[in-house]
Amino acid sequence: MTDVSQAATATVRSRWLPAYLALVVATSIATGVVSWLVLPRPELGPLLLLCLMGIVSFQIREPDVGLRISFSFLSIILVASAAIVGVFGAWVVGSVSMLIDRRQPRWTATMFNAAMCGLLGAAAALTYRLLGGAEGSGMTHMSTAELGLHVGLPLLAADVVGCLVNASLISGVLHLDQGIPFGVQLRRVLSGSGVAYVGYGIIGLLFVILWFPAGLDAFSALLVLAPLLAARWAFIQYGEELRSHERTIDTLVTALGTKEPAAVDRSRRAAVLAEWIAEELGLPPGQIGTVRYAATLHEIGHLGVATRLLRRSPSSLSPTERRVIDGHCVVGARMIEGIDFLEDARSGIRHQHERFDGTGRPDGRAGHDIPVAARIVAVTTAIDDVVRDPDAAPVLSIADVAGRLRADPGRFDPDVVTAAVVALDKHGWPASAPAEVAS
Amino acid sequence: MNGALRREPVAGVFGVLCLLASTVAVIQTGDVPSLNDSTTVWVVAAFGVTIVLGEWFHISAPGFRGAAPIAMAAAFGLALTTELPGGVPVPYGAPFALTVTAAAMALGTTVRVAARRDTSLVDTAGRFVAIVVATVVYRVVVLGQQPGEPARETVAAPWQQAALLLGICLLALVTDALFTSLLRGLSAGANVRRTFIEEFRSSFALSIAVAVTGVLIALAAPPLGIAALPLFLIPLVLTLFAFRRYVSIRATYLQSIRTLSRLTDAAGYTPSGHSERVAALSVQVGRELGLSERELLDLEYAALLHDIGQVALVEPIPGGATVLAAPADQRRIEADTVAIVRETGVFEGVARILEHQTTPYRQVRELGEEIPLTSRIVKVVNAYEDLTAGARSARAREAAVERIYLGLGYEYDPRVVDALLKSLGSPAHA
Repeated sequence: MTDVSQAATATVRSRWLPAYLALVVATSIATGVVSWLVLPRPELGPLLLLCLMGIVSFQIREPDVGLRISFSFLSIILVASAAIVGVFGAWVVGSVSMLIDRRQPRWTATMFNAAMCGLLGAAAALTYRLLGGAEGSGMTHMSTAELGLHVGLPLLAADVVGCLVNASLISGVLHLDQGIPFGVQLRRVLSGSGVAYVGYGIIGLLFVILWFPAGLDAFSALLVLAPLLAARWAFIQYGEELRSHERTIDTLVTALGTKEPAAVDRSRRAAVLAEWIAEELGLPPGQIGTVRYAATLHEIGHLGVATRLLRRSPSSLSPTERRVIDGHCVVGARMIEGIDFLEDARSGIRHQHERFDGTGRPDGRAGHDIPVAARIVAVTTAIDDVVRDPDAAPVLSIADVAGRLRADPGRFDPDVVTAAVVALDKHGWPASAPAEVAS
Repeated sequence: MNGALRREPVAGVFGVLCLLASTVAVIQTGDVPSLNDSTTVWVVAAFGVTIVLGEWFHISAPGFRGAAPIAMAAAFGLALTTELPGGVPVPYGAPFALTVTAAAMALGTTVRVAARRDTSLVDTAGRFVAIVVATVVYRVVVLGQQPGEPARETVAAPWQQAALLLGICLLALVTDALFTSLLRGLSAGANVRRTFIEEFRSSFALSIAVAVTGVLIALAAPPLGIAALPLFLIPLVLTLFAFRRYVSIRATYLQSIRTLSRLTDAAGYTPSGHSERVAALSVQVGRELGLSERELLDLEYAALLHDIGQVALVEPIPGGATVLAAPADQRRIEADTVAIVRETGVFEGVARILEHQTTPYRQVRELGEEIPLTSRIVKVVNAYEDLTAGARSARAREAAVERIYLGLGYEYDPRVVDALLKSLGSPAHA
């Protein structure tokens, strides 16, 4: 499952955020109280054991797999809790597991995580109960078919409900905290970890089967550790894959930075702005990644251009020299050939100087034949150039920037320009912009 | 590498003998369940098919022992399952269970060989040895089951039963590692104890997961029947997908190294193919000096990346030959190279090699500084490649070796230079 792990960039903070957090916490506490009063109460022994497992699973979670979230197999413990200790029990397990969090500097985030997790446990357990899930020793003498109908199916439903609650609450808080559109974030969480969440929920079912029908009781906790650790290893691989991509990109940017130090900062800003625009355009999660990679590496071809040319001011270059520099996008796209995960980003780098009306270089593509990554990179670099132009007025408004971009109607995709204006309006300028640029 | 050729047939013959022996045992003891009993037929068929599939989907990666976790877990399940739903005991004993396992493993492996997928008969034979140990220890020694008779009911509490089965599986896995390392160690003339420790360590985590899954299948068979098999295999199957991911992560790093090594070519700082040539020759020299496979891999990566720091230069060095550059410039290039490689965060070993690639050998001799042998190799081979500038003629080679001899013992490690001459296949130049 996922939780909020990283301190936010603090650029966007909706004033609704405190209200949202308070609402989630209040709902969670109310759920706990009501379930304690109305529903059957769990045995103390199993409850303590599951709480312990929950705490441990959260402590050994895989921290920050990108996207400002982290993974743990707490969700599996919660699914099992639904059948073993009931609604109130699952609520307790969820709330307690997240409360001890030494890595989290903000107590509000800890409170939110605990409340979300309590709600999630309670929602899953309630689903299980409403679908007629069997409880405790009632499972001991069931036939295989009965076990499937009264334990398997309700538990799977509980698993899916838990996943949805998790994804929507997380997307809500990230929307208010960092301005990421709710739908984009929801799809991102569901496509990133949703499949794993539901798939590994099966281990929760195995846990329950070992506990009651196989008669292993608390000893099953020890045996189920092996599949749980296997799941953790798999999560780690997921995080490692994302990290291996980030590291590869960072290495390439560092190589570029040894040649042209200013390019490092330009890449960072381009990446941030491009990601915002891609989110604003509502692109699918995979494409947002491609756009970000293309923007980060849009100047990587400078490695193939003589340093003498790069250091000259643009106005003093002859047309031939200009063409050599502009050829960097073709060089760059060729340079990163052979890195599989950058395959899609290559076309975004190659076509960044195409014009929307089809008179650009290198291939004269027009309109939507230009890859969306290239259209976005064109706008981000143009915005960066306008803002950083030494001749420009010290204070530029977003409207001014938009006006400059629209002054050349054939150059950019108007939809991307509009999305850029909305994104800048929401987030302000990318972080490393100097202070005199007002937003 | 004669040993490598011989141990596979040995393992193959061993496997065929096992199959024959268990079949003979079945016929001798009459340990065949009645075909009219449809539940038993289903159970045996499900286990058999799963083992065949598991052998087909076996996994292997560099630095990983070949394994077939699905097949292994199913085979443990078959060996340890003695009771089905409703308290019905399974009507077969050790010989029959072993024959089914042997036949299924043989079938899966044959299909793999026929499809020309990479297979290791040693690993397959080792897996079967493990199953023999588990089956015999549990069914014959612990339960005292007679062939053809159902096993008697266990009286132990469920958790004691679980602990017992887990212990048996662990014993079986240790036997497996012992068997394969014995076969490997003897045929390659290597140290058996070291091979055993390496085999066991590299497969430990996966083996535990496999053993537990096998035990869980057997424990869940009384309430769930054969449904326990697919259900409890799911976590392992998911782990296999994660394993694919693990392999692709390694591939990403390798691809980025290749890309980085070509950057200086593309930017015109080094003659094209320089890094690849240095890498190929360095690995040859490393082999000559008896480096381990792991060190050779780091050496290859380091050689591929050794010039990447040149991208920071405003004016390329003529011919990209760092050996002709001033020592201070060499050091700056080296520092930039190390900084870029460190950024990857995973190639610490490579960065350490590159840190010393320009250090003269005399600092080892006079100051007692520790310079890795791999760094000294990169230094010598790079100098040789720079000096020949890719030319392969005997004269260019003579001239380059002559230059290196001038720095022998001062700049370059004489041992490495000797190894270089050997791998160039040239007669003594001195």
